[in-house]
Amino acid sequence: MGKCYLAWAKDPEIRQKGGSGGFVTATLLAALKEGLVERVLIVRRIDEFEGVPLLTDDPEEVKSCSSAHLAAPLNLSSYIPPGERVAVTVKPCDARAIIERSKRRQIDLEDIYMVGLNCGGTFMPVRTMEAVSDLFGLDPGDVLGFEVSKGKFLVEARSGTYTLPMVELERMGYGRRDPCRYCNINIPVMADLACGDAGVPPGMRATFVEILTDKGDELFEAGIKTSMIEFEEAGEEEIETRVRTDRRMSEDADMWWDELSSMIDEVDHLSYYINELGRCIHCGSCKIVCPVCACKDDAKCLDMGREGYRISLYNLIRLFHLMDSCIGCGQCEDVCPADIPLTMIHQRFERRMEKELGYRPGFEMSKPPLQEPEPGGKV
Amino acid sequence: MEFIQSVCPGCCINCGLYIVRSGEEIKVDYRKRSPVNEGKLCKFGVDLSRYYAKERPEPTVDGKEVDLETAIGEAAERLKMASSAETGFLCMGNSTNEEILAFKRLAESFGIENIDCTLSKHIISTPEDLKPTLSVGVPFKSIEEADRIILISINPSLQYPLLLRRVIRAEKKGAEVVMLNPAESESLELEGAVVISEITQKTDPMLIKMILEAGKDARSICFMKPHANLTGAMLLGFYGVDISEKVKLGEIRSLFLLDPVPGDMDDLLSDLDLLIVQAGMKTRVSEVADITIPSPRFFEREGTVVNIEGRVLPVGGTSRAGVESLLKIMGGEMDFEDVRRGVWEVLGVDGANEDLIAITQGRR
Ligand code: SF4
Ligand code: SF4
Ligand code: SF4
Repeated sequence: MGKCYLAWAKDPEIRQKGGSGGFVTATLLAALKEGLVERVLIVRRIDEFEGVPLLTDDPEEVKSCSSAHLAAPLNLSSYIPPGERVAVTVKPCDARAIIERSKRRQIDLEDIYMVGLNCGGTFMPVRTMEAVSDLFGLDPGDVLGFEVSKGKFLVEARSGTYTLPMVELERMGYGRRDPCRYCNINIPVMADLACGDAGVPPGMRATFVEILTDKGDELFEAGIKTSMIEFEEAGEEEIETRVRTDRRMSEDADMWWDELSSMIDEVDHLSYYINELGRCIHCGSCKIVCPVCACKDDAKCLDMGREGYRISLYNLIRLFHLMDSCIGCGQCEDVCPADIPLTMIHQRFERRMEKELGYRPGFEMSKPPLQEPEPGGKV
Repeated sequence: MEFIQSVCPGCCINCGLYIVRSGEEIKVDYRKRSPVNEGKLCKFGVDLSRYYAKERPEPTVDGKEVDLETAIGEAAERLKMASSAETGFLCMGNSTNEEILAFKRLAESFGIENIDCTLSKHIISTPEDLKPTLSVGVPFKSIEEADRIILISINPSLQYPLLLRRVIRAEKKGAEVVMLNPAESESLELEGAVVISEITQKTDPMLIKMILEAGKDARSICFMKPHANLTGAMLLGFYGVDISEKVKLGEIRSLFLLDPVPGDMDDLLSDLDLLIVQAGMKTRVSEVADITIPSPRFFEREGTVVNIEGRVLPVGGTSRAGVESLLKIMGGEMDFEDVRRGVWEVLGVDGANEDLIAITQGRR
């Protein structure tokens, strides 16, 4: 484990406004001020249910953005400009995507500072708007904010605060995206910093920060040097709380994995794949959004997307090409117009490969084993 | 990297998306916040940047490039000279509500009654009380909640994939889904069902009549349409005569086309006495026009469309040029705001709101 701190923005306004004491905002501002990066890539909040990527060097714009947006399930790795030094706020799947993209020479990891955000899952915007109106009778336009805290879904609206246990919400078919439910990586340990609420004593406006790399050190130092942040060392109790929270969330994710993947185990596998993948309309979106896919218009899979196949070779080639590299980010499933549970399907292959080959995509820079067969090796 | 919230001009669903602009470069991105499609797109939507990359027309008069004002002035002059009985205004449903209403007002100002959105022949032969059923469809949520869905002469997986997912959701919840080809069925049993079909210029009018007749006790009827804003065009009353028929018969000698797409009338266009085209992209039709008036690309336009569910959606742009050119030909008594107010009034809404099903068939 890296060095752990409780840290916050020195500027009282940023500390008050930013989630968790404004540490992330202050760190991004410091990175710009110190010239560590040329621009930062963050999520611009349009409203509670919509956010878009923003690449900026304007401190005012950085201040007006929030570090996390629960209902903007983006993968920021796809918006990193090549050849520029940038700081990016990353969920674990963004960070893993950045590492995989850098292996494929899509971006240069040297140029990127990853400010990691612990993540308990993101929400699809429309379904979440339906949840607030179906369950609480609220007009989504009256919602001021929502969050997940201590296993509860909390909605702040003009008319008051509304809450429901997450378990209940998700049993009713609302809640986090499916891929987020079974994603068991909550702390972005592959980023330069990992920032989150877990471990912060109740009532304290601060972020629990773990410094994971030399670049993480540089970011933290920039905050100190520019007097943008204040901090204290995290105590044993706080560290223990964070470890416990992380463990509980991972167990919860594994429970969801077992439950959702058992739907496939209970039916004939071949018919399941034929039924699901047979609906593909060859729009190509799943490839376009996949952050670990590096081929352009001359991709092998695209050559095989002919009409008339019940399951086209397009999907099968993608399955082969991603079975050691899919990071489970859910982007493909989000945009599939045929509602194919693509992430679940890819992850069923990847998770087995992971067990067998001991390789986890997006954690460090070693090459995907299926691309680097060792002579006489296991593959 | 500027994210513009826009809608797809590919069909009557009007999927929400982002146009992402970086300098001159334009890309499409997925807008998961859109209540219409939740970020999902069909192949047309995915490839939209190629569509928008097509060449734009220049203002021309008799094949020569001129400035915009000259083209507008010339259009006004020649329309004045043309016989109104032999002049037609055809809008193909690829324009905003504001452009369509301005186009209608322009026709009225020249006393032209021959107006058409390509579907006039179907609309005028439909009884008044059933006309709303022809124009606006049904909310997609209600398709998901149906017990029985009957698809008549339509294959959503090929024609409207973003409708298909709603049908599949209903099926997964236990709905019975039937695909019917009326040519092979003796009678149509539509009681209690959500009936989905398609209406295009080429649809057999008998089929529409049959569906409307048999569908009196259906739960709802939804006629999908191939162009972006045919729903808006119908609601704004842009219909009257079958212009393509009249052109074929030689009864129309002067024609003003708004945002045309290639069609089966194209070969006849060069024989007309006068052809005016206002369009956002160059086509074979704009090439043979006597007068061409360029308008902004669809996503650049300020204005709205009505999608098949009855949502009034902003197109996302800020350019009023398309509407303003039409108003200038008319003589400039109206401005954009007048047209906008007119649209709200006819549609009975107080603005665009993607989250609201503002227009319903009101029959069931
Ligand atoms: S296959 Fe899907 S879930 Fe896996 S990395 Fe690609 S987009 Fe993400
Ligand atoms: S997104 Fe879905 S429909 Fe489109 S190509 Fe991928 S699997 Fe097929
Ligand atoms: S379904 Fe229609 S509106 Fe949606 S992306 Fe396709 S063409 Fe565009």
